[in-house]
Amino acid sequence: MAKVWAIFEREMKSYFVAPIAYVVIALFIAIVGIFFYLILASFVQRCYEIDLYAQQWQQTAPAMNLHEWVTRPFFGNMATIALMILPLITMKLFAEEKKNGTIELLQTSPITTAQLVLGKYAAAVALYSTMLAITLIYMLFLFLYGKPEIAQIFSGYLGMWLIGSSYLVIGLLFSTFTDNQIIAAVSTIAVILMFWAIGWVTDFLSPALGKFIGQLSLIEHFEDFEKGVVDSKHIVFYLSFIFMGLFLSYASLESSRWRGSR
Amino acid sequence: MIQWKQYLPIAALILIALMLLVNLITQQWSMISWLALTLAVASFAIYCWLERKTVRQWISTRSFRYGSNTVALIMIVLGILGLVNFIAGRHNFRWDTTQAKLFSLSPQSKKLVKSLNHELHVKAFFRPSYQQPIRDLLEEYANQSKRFRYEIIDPDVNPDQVKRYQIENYETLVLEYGNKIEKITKATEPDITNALIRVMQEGEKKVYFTTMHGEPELDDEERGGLHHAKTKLIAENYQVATIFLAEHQQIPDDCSVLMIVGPKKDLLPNEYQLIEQYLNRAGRLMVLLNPDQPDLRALLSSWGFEIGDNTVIDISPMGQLFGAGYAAPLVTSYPEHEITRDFNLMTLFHLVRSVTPVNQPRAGITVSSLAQTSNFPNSWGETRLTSRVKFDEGQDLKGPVSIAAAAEKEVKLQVQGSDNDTTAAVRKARVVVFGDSDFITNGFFQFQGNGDLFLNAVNWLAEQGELIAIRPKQAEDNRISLTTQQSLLIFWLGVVFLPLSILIIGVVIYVHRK
Repeated sequence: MAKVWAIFEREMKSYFVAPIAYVVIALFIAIVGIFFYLILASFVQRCYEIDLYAQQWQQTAPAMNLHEWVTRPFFGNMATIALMILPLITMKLFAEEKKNGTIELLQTSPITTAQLVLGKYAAAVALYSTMLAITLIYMLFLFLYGKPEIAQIFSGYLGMWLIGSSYLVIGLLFSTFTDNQIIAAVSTIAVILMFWAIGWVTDFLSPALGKFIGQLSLIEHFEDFEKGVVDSKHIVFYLSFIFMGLFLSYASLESSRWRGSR
Repeated sequence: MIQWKQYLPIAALILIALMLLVNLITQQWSMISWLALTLAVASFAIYCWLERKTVRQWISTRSFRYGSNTVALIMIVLGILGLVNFIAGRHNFRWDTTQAKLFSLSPQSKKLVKSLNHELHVKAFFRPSYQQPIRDLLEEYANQSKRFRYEIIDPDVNPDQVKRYQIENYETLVLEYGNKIEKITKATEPDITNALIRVMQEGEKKVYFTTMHGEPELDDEERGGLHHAKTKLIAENYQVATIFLAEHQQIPDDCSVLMIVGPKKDLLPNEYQLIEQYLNRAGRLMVLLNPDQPDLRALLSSWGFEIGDNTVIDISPMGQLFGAGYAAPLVTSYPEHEITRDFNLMTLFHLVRSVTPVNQPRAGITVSSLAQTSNFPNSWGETRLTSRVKFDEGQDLKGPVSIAAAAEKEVKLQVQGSDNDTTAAVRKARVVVFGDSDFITNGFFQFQGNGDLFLNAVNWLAEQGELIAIRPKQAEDNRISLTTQQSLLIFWLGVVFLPLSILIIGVVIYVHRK
């Protein structure tokens, strides 16, 4: 555990010493902030219009639910933004070590491959969690001016954390394949998009196959969290997904020890 | 030099790809896919045999051993995770965090969906911007049972489906269960669940016609018979049968609507009793009376109908256009009711008496008029039909005269569940009374809207909606209104200041380090 912690610390330091972490966080917050502002503004506008309409026709205005109109689309958008941004966190994890040749040093050190993978992944998740925590400021605005439901927000953040951690594990895996950070980032985005869109092709497949393939879609498992339903099966899915990604990264790193040897 | 056998593994791969492609397109294992698979295996086997020396050498390398070990391990891990997820999918715990429990079905709905015996297909015709709430709702049903399948269709881009299911409004749901179809135009949980009950109910709806009181014959094809009405009912998926009430202990349970059409003799006391009991079990009754014939007043007055001792006269010129006499009012005015909603056809009643809703019916009963003749002085209810017909103040009923009415009363029933728990269900007893029976006989059935009005009334009676009382859920109303200052604060603080300050901190640290 101490060794995992050592890797984690080293990785965190490298994030925050170089400007990369700040740029990524600022980029993420800026885009999320713009979306938040636009969604909230259109909600306020809509409430106003509906009230006006109701007064004009002397009807009772329909209920305007903050969660339906603001937080739910907010989480949906944030999941898409994370898809684009998170590969920037993971692209360097192993690709950089490979490029600099430091990976051999690490592999010959008393640190095991599993400890290495866990430490680096934990650092990426920690950075991502920081990003998520900063977005809580937007929720603060909602509490300041309205009455949002705290449990729904918790559900959305839990989903965000799980889906983001799944993106990160894909990024981790792809950075073990190459020493080129750009290739690692681009292939990560491509694969996340594939896991994202996989649910859309199910209509063209036979029902049984479609249902099976649909189960692999990252976004389909996210939808319940987004609307405020915490379902244990989705949590199990994301955790299995992350576990599988970590395991594959481990296997990929291990394979470099014997690959090509007779 | 590359020899021909080098191409064998490539050929095998191409064949496998072909097999997959064929399977995906035809969605089944066809002759071609089997053939492709066989050829692929064969060419790979031939290659291995011809190149056995190389293959053996390759297999004995360390990297092959490790590689195959790793692949096997990955497969095992995948298998275990697949199993874990399968079990987790079966035994999941769902927590709806919304305050109004927007995404949870009521226990009744859950139980009902779980009891589906075979597949139920729901087609929801919704425009894209209205699809989200119905998707959420149907997803909750689908979560309860694998047999519940749904599909959301944009009616504007799928005219073939719209035509096939005869969709007339946006936001229509079609439930298909076996060969039964149920359509609803309100998509809330109570509506969907009650539609489910209706569509799951076995057997067709049965309409019983009473006999032995001088009613017209169902199979009579002459002017005075009911052949047309019967044929039309059968075409609308009803079973039609006759019943001699006096022979029965109670009205059969499969009776969806009991019809009493123009009795020339009054019903026996025990027949009245049977009908009373039937109505108290939320039965459905339609009575067609005629002037100067038994009026079943003993039964009908307690349900809020006032049966007039008169014959309605209509001297408006419109009726004459169709060759109708004074004693055959042409009706064009239909007060608002579910039966007459969007009904815009003329109906003709030959010799009709007034049927008026009483002002204050017994508690729980609502009565309303269905059809009215034209206004006074063109129309009135004549009490003494003699050679000289005229309105007598104080004796006759001033027009417009109501000639049909419908009553409804909620009845609470205890429904025994499968595991011995009783749930309270609310059903409605319904009664429709017309002051004339001729309008559905062969001679008049096809005149303008006569047949349609009759069928509308039967359909309304046979409808079994409101079987289970579920309170519809309402999302919390937690709107936000912002002043310009507040909005600007959010913009500058959240969108500009926050990301910028993070960036500046980063730059400062970076420069400091350098």
